[in-house]
Amino acid sequence: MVKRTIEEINEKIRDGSVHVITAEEMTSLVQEVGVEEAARQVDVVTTGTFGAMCSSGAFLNFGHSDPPIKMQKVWLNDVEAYTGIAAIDAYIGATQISETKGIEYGGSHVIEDLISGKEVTLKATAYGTDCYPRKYVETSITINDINQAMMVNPRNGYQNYNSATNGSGKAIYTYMGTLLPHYGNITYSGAGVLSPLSNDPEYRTIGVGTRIFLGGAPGYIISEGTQHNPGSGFGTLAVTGDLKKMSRDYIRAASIYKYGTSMFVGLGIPIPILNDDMAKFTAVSDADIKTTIYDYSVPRRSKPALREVSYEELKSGMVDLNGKEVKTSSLSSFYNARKVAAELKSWIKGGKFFLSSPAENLTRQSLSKPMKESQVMPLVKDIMVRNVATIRRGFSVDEAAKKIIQDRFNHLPVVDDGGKLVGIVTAWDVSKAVALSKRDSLEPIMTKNVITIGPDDPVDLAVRLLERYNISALPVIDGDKKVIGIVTGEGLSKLLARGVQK
Amino acid sequence: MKLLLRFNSEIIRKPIIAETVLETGVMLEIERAKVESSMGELVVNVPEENCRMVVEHLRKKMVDVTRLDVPITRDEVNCVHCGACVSVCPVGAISYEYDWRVKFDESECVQCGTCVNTCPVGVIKLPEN
Ligand code: SF4
Ligand code: SF4
Repeated sequence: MVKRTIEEINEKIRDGSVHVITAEEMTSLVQEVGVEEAARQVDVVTTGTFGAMCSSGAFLNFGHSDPPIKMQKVWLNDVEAYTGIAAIDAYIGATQISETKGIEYGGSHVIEDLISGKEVTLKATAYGTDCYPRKYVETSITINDINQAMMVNPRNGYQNYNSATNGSGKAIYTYMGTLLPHYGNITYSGAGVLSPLSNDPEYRTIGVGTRIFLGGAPGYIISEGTQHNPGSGFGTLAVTGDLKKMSRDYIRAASIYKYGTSMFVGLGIPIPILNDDMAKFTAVSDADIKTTIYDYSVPRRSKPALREVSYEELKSGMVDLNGKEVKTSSLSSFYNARKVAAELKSWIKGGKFFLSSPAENLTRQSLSKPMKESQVMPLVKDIMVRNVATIRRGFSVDEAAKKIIQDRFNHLPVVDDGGKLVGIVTAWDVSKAVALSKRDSLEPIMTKNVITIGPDDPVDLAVRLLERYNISALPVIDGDKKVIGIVTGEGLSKLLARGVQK
Repeated sequence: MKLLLRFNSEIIRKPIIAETVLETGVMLEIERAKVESSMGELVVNVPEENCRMVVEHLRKKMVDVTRLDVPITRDEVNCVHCGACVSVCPVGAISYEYDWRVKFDESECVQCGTCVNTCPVGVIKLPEN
């Protein structure tokens, strides 16, 4: 049984005899020589991750202008930073987007520009007080002109994260990247074998005050992260570090198509091998780390879980999903995660980085609750039209035309003999077919990829789908794909105009 | 030279191809066509020497034109090798190397443009014309 203390390890770092390897190397070593021997040989294992971590940002202190200003609103390159703190402090969040450029440029880009030494335009407005009379200031600054620049990221380094795919008929654009229709691809975000918290899943060495690698500079864990949910393997970390010392190699701005901005953060944590248990934890392999593939086409809090998958399968590039081979790709750079782990390793070996004992361990009891909503959201079933006319797929265009006129519906869902939805025709499709004398069957004129909604879905979702796909109606279907109602854009606007509140 | 022409719903019903042939006197050979009620996509072959003129005519008529014989480019230095572009490529032109760097095989690329939008750091570009 090996026993080591952090002080002993730091002593070895000081005298240059420390043995450090990366978490990836540790996995192989344990496979070769076993846990006990690996524990004997290795003092520290370094981990690393380089993923898009939205919940990131920085506190900046700009220094006082003359006459001074108590900033009420502040913008950096047209991206608003939060100022509800003292006069000239502000927090720039990675996902705040530019008021002029939209999601092409956001808080993360401001941070990247600051790190790169670029000039950034600072604008601030204020209401003016006796001590802070100024109401407006505009200037150009670089990171060297500001006093403190502290990166403070409330939620980084997820222990594990979902994997995403899309079961609908259209491509969707999410924070998990572009998801192609009909389960066209699977994306995931995590460093697997190198993932910091997966190498110390019980948080025995990682805690408040743990010294870490953040964005290319030394940093610290300040507490558990927001949404920390260790019970289900979703532990998170809140971290801080000095932005002035960071490097663009490890902090990069991201703009995720049709979603928004985010920030790639390079984060690494050293894991001291204090005993055999720690050697066992750090021997975790991609095959041991599991995640679940969810269907992101369902924009609800609970999405359908399709299957469990290991990082080994995800990283192989193909995953079997209901008998179909689906291509996978990552959003988090494994190449850069390796660089983080290797860099941290070289810092420790070079005597430049010492380990710290946590002042307090991270809680393992926390839960991430859903939002308490005091107003009940109206559901589709509360507002849908129930007596919806449908037509069997074998019928002719003329019959459809008759039905549309008779029942005064602009949309006619097409069903098969079992009553299941197979398509939809609109009054416009029908008149076009009549005009072109293509009246034999509905099949060629109907839309087959119908966007539908369920009765228990919220009305907000119906509105989003109508807008997103630029359509005017959504058939409401039950679990058997039977049509039980319809919501139309027109119907919704009437309801909204009346201010429906259930 | 191959050109990818995209027609939006406003112009899709206009006889733009016929007009362009008449006005420029250049024969446009249609290689591939996909026309739906709200959009249309054509791939046409144009003799190299007339390409510029044809492109100008089409652009005036609000057609979105992409030259297909010029491969996409990626600024490798600024690529973070995240891999977001890998699984969206329909022809497998993008893949991970042994060390998890992301590599492009330009000869496989069909210029669909999907990876261009997918890249979070904006380092992939389709040729301008
Ligand atoms: S443009 Fe399309 S085909 Fe070419 S590399 Fe990108 S995704 Fe692949
Ligand atoms: S999406 Fe962009 S940054 Fe990511 S690997 Fe592809 S080219 Fe590189």
